Amino acid sequence: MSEPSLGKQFTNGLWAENPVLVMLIGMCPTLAITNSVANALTMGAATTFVLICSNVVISLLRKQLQPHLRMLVYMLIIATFVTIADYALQAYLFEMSQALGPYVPLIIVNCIILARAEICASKSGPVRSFVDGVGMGLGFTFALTILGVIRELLGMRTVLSYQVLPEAFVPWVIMILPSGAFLTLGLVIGLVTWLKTRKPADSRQNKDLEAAA
Amino acid sequence: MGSMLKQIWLVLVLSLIFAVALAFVDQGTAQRIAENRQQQVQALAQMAILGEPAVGADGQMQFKIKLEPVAIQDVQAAFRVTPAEGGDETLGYAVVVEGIGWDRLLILVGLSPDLQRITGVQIVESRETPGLGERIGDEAWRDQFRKPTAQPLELVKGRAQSPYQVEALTGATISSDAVTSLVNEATAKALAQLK
Repeated sequence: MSEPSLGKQFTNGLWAENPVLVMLIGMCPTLAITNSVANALTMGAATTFVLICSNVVISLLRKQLQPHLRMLVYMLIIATFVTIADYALQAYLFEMSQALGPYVPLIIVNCIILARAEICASKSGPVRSFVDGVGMGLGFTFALTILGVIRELLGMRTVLSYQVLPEAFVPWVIMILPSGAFLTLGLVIGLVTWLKTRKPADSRQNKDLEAAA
Repeated sequence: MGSMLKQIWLVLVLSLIFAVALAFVDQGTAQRIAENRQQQVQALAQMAILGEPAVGADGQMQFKIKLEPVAIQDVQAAFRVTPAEGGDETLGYAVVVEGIGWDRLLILVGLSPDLQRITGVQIVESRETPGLGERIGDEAWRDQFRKPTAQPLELVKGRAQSPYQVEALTGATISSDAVTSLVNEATAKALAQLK
């Protein structure tokens, strides 16, 4: 089995295997903190930092890992970087850290990070693991930001606290409530799946190939 | 024993390295985090006592008050509020109490120097439902608590009939109730212990 190119490894996380919109993992923070764009961006940045660091460290240690102790080592590494991210947010972005509440420490159990450790970092070199971490992290941030923009816009008329919709628009309070998260996530996943599956059916070439077969 | 050490050495070494690393991170950030919390309480206390926000036009924190801890039992924190530029005049008292609404709830109650009036109520920390219980943060609602302390306040649904009644937020009775009982708790403890 040949490894994909580094570029492909990068775009993999952004689109082809986007953790939230395609793999459907990491749903807990996705549903909980996307009620505003600022929350979504902060959460995305914190998770990306943890993902990159844990991917690189696990990759460097991959030859020393005992199969039955590997999960323990993963958790140890992830928990350390999450604690660093949590302290940094409390020290330098205090209001943001208050708004995110328990969801920053909960990055420890975000299964995107564990999944990438198991699927990529424990089998690949540090450069590939780094690229994978960046791609997956940005893919996660991208998905959270889309949800954040839709929910904040319809629920509070604003994007990043900057008013976009006119006063005449009555905010849909449901959008910033948990049910709004489920509705938006469902619709966005539906749209992404439609975009991804539509392509082969549209291309003439595929149809010709099928006909020939 | 030997084979066990051979298996777990990585876990032991990593734990040691990470513990040391985290100790450094903690040392580097602890002071700033404590300052952030202190500033937050100070800003809320200024708002509750003087009714003036602590954030200036340039976004920098500018305080007109100082906090001096006073001893009140069974509350999170209690302070005597004095002017920032000096002087020992008591501008009021700020009491921080903790309770449960839908989740952990921390509020600050500002009291007049003679403890006869509530000058303001501020939310320090809350995770009430966005759009519903979160409205306990609305200034218009919290202004209802600026009342004399002679009697405990009573939460009512609909219109308040007497000066000691507070109107509950529609759709957020539990959160309104939590704030009201916390305000009563803070006032009662301050009245009993500061005199």
